[in-house]
Amino acid sequence: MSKVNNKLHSYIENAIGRNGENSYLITDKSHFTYKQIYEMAITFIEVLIREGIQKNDRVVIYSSKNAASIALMIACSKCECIYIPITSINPANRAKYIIDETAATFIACDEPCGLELNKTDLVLQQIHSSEGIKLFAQSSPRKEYTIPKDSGFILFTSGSTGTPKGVVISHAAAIVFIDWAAKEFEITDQDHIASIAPFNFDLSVFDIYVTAKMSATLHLYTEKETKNALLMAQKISTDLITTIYGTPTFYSTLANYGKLNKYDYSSLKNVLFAGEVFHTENFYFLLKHWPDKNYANLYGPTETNVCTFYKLDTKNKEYAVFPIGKNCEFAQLLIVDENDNVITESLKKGELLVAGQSLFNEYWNDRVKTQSTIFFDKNGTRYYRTGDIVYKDNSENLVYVNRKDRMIKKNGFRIEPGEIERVMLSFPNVSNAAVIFSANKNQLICFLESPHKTEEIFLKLKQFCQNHLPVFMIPDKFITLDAMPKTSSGKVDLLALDKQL
Amino acid sequence: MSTENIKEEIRTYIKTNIIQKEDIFIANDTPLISGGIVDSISTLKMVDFLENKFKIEFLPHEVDRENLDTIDLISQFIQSKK
Repeated sequence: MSKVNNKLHSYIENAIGRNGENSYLITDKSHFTYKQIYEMAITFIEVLIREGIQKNDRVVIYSSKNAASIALMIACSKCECIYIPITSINPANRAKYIIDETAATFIACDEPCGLELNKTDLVLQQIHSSEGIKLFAQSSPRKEYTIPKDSGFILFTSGSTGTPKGVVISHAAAIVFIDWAAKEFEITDQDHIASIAPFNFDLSVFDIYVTAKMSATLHLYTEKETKNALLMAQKISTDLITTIYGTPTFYSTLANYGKLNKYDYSSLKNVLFAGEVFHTENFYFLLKHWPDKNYANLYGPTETNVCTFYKLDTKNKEYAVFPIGKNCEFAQLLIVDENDNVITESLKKGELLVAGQSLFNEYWNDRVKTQSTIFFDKNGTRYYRTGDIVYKDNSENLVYVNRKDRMIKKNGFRIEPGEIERVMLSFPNVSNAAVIFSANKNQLICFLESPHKTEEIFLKLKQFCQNHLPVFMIPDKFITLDAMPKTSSGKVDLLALDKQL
Repeated sequence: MSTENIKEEIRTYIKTNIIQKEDIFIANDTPLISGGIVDSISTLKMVDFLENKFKIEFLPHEVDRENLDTIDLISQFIQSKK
């Protein structure tokens, strides 16, 4: 029996205890055993200690996906500090915002991200360079925060007030999910898992740690590689991948453009998806290429990680919609109406609330926002309000209906229109902005109040977005208007805009 | 097909299928991917179009900014495949 895991780095230490020579990470260029990654982590720890790292310091990792980033996460866990992954799909301006907001003391970058970050006004001092990663120290003085116990990492998601918000996640919350997932999907040391999701996306928690827990092997695919469906179709086959955890968009793109019929996928067993609704039409197209796999729909916002799941029965059932299923053993669920009265009847819609050990600690440095999303039942159990409207079907499986607020799910990414709108207001001559989502076209439409015609400024708008927004938030379409339609209360009339499409 | 014709075919495709606006000027050297005009899914759709239109085949690693970021680059790539 391996010892009980209480910090994320224990998974790696236990894997080494079993056999340090097993392959942990495989990238396009090289491969690393558990022992090699651990040694890399020890080097980082020595540097961080030499530079005076303290408990609960924040370490931002702004890089493309690579082995050194994972070694650094392990180093942070061992040093009892908090890591913040920001992938290269984020422009430097957004990375700088997160570095400032969390008062990070150390920043790790690969070469391209380091160059971009150096163009901002951050004052960075390089303290170390190895394995394709440069470590910088921030010279500004330490700020004091009250940080909840056991905080392990922060994942930044889009914020409705216009700026990204940090979801602070504890070791215990991550571990309860990792242990459950490894068991539920019967992962073993023979598995080859595909790392598709960027590290700032909670799907990567499964990739990095379920792999380590079971001494399996993780194939790291960079953000650039995962976008290329032709390449991924080939790699999943030739790398003998057994388990993939990705978004429906990833799979649909693969089925539509990857030329899957050219390759053999007999190694592949588990196809897990999460992050957005998998439209059945797209799913059945994938199923034609990949019959006989174990398919599962996993559900849960970053704040709770996965809290419900549904294993598809593709042999015996024809689905019109995929349920999000039943609770994971560590999660308790409630459905409530607008007045927080509990709904127990089937088919009646309400907001899903989630309690249990996988819950996040808080939004970084924002007690008010944290409290606004928490509901205590009469026993004092702490529930997170997901903002997702669901109902229970006749087999007690939950079915997702829609959002309670304006949040958009596009390609598995969670997008608050407010964040795009705030950025667009800094474009010259734009006096008002509104973003709506066309679900059937899967497009973000941005309305701008501007004296210019769309055609005149289109290319500049696209370039501006490229510099200020993560790729997944860039609007697909711009429409300029002389004046925004307003409601009687003076707000932008989103319904009227929706009708214009 | 002449180089000029190839470039016009690509330009027309981008305007009608990706931007969906006829009156935007896309030059031969306008950055398409790095300029935020063509996203990753549009890139794959465009590759599909190019393969069918010009009877060529992309190898997986060739679906890359190096070959696809401008009309000039795409046209050069097509000709190298002929």
